[in-house]
Amino acid sequence: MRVDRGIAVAQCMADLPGASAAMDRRVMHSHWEHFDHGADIGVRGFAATKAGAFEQAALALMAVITDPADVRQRDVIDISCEAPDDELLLAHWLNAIVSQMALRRMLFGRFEVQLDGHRLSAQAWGEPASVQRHRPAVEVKGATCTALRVAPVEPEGWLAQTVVDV
Amino acid sequence: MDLKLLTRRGPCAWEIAQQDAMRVPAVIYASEALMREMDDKVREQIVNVAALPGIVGAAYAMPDAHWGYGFPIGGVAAFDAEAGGVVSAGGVGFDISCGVRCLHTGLVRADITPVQQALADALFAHIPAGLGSTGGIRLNSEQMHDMLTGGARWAVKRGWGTDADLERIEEHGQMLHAKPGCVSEQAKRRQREEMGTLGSGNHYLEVQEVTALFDAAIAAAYGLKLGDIVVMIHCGSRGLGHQIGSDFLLRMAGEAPSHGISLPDRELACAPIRSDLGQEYLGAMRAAINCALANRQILTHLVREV
Repeated sequence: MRVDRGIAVAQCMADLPGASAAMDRRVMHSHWEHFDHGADIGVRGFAATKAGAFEQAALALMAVITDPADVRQRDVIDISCEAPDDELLLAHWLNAIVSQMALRRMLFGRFEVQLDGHRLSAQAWGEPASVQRHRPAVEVKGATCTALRVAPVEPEGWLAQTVVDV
Repeated sequence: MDLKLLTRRGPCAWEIAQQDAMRVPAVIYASEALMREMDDKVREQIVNVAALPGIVGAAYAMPDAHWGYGFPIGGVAAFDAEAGGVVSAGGVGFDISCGVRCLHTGLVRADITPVQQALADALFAHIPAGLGSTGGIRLNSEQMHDMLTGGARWAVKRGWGTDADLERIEEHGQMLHAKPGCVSEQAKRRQREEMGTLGSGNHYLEVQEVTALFDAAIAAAYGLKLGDIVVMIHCGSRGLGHQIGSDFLLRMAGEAPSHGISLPDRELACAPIRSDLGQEYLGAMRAAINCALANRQILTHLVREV
């Protein structure tokens, strides 16, 4: 099963208790979506912060394989990478997740990203992949540089996207 | 595609004249009907390919061309190493040495129909497939090195197949000049438990019947005739190849400016063939080819066991 759209609650200022209606309108709501690329599929994350957009893009990546909401947050692993610029950092980040999924036979359902310039450190929560429980749709081979983009967008927020090869 | 942007050079040949950053013209081979249906992205991508350093003659696109990664799928280009020509990890992609192997069974439909379900179940049970699947083979560092240099020859030496198989395999089962040292540890770790696995996506193992012969002479050369049952295996270098593709795509994208290469599209990430990075990539690619050859050989053996 592939999920086409998701709304996350973490790292979104507008979701914090007490956030005003005015803030809701000004700040990007954290969410992810897929976009079409003929043979493969695009993953796109939006959030108030660049780090949040990277987290949402990672959830979009997971949703190519299974519904991230069905992945239990049983174990946590650390992931880090760096690159010469924001866009290559996004590709490195998504490829690091693909590698960790393959090496650990895991799926992930939650991510927290910290950015220091073009250096990324993150935590990923998940559990061992189960064909019965997760019914994985495909195996992602890697993140490409096609439609690769990290940029500020309106309302106040960030977009992080690329196409992944499946 | 808007045909006004191209010059017709024959019934099925269309040219985009050299312009702007293009170093050579671009040529698309297709009928007018196919051209009208073809994605505009093909034109955009083949024009970008024509701008790469060292390209020879023209950038070509075949009749099945469609939007790919940097290159259109169905794109063809040659590069002259002595003229600053490049090798592009983006153009090659992630599925390194993806290919098919066709196994004769000596059977016809009537032989397998009574046991069709049992045969499918046995193949599914014996040959790991799908996301996260692992095989019964574990390679240590030394065995990994030997596999990456020996290909299907290594597999046969280990007992997965016979010498006769090697006579019918591309490169006779072994790609020379592989450089396992150019393959990242991450790529090798991903492959340690994936030998003898099929993968997912468009990879498959199918029991097929020959139902039509389009060229009787070629079919005869392969020993195929109507009604034959064959086993077709489609897979590549698994996680090792995916990781090599990712590793070099991002390295080439990052290092392109240092080689004086201006990329019209980052997915065309490339390096001069005569650079250290270009040679490392080619060495790693040959190792990945050996991995794919070995893997298809092991799968062949597993099918025979069933």
